[in-house]
Amino acid sequence: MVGLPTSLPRADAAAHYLHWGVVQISLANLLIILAMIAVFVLALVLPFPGSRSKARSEDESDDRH
Amino acid sequence: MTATEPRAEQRPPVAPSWTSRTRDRVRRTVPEGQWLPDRQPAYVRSWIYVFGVATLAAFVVVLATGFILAIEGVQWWHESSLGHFVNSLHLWSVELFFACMVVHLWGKFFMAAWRGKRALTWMTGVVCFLGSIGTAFTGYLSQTNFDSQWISGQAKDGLNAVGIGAYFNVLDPGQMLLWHIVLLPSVVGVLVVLHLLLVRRHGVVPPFDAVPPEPADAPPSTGEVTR
Repeated sequence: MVGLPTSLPRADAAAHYLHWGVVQISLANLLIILAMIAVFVLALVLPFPGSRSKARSEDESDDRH
Repeated sequence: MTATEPRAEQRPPVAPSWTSRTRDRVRRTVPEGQWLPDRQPAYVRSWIYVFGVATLAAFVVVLATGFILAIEGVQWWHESSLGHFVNSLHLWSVELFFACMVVHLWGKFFMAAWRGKRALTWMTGVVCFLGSIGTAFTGYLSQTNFDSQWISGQAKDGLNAVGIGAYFNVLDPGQMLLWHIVLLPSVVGVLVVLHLLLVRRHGVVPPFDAVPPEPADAPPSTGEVTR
């Protein structure tokens, strides 16, 4: 049986926890929450595909009228 | 017929049956042209509006993989390669479902999505979220492994501590499996349908600085006035 590379984290190992007073959270959960916040911010600031070209083509059609 | 009884043409109209009342209610709730629109307001062209339908897409995968797991059974998802794969699909689609739902929730919260007579839309989403947590929890209890055993042991103490442990037994895997695959998905499924109907009825909530194409209670137009 081929063993897993030692560089990979073990899924069955004890989770690494962070502590701030009464607050404690696993590192994995904290990273997921931060990733979700990043996705939320990106969803607000990134332009939606095609929105500029669509708006431009409509502006041009308005100009023709 | 006595003299005091009104003649037939003077009687008030007969109350419609429950089927006609239901049909009228559905027609009034989501008039034709609103329930599957092919045009949306311009402000919907934003990534933040994607997460609602992304949640719905993940929910469909959750249901489909859950059906397969229920058909094949516990031994299959523990011992066969395909069972492991479908089990993983079920887990990761749930993870995506919750991640998308939470981003959807953040977006709608900061947009105050209960504006414009959308309070019921907001509340069905809230209850759906809570029901989904219960469904996911009972799913973790239905894994039939040491993880589910550990979670149920911990949950039993927590639920008893808050005084609701008498209503169900988290140490009973049969009961929790039935809650997971019958009761809670039915509740969540009905709420999802209601939520979608209400979204279609009132339209997606506009950003604060945007002008919606037409009032939420206006009669249905043939196409929502948008780009």
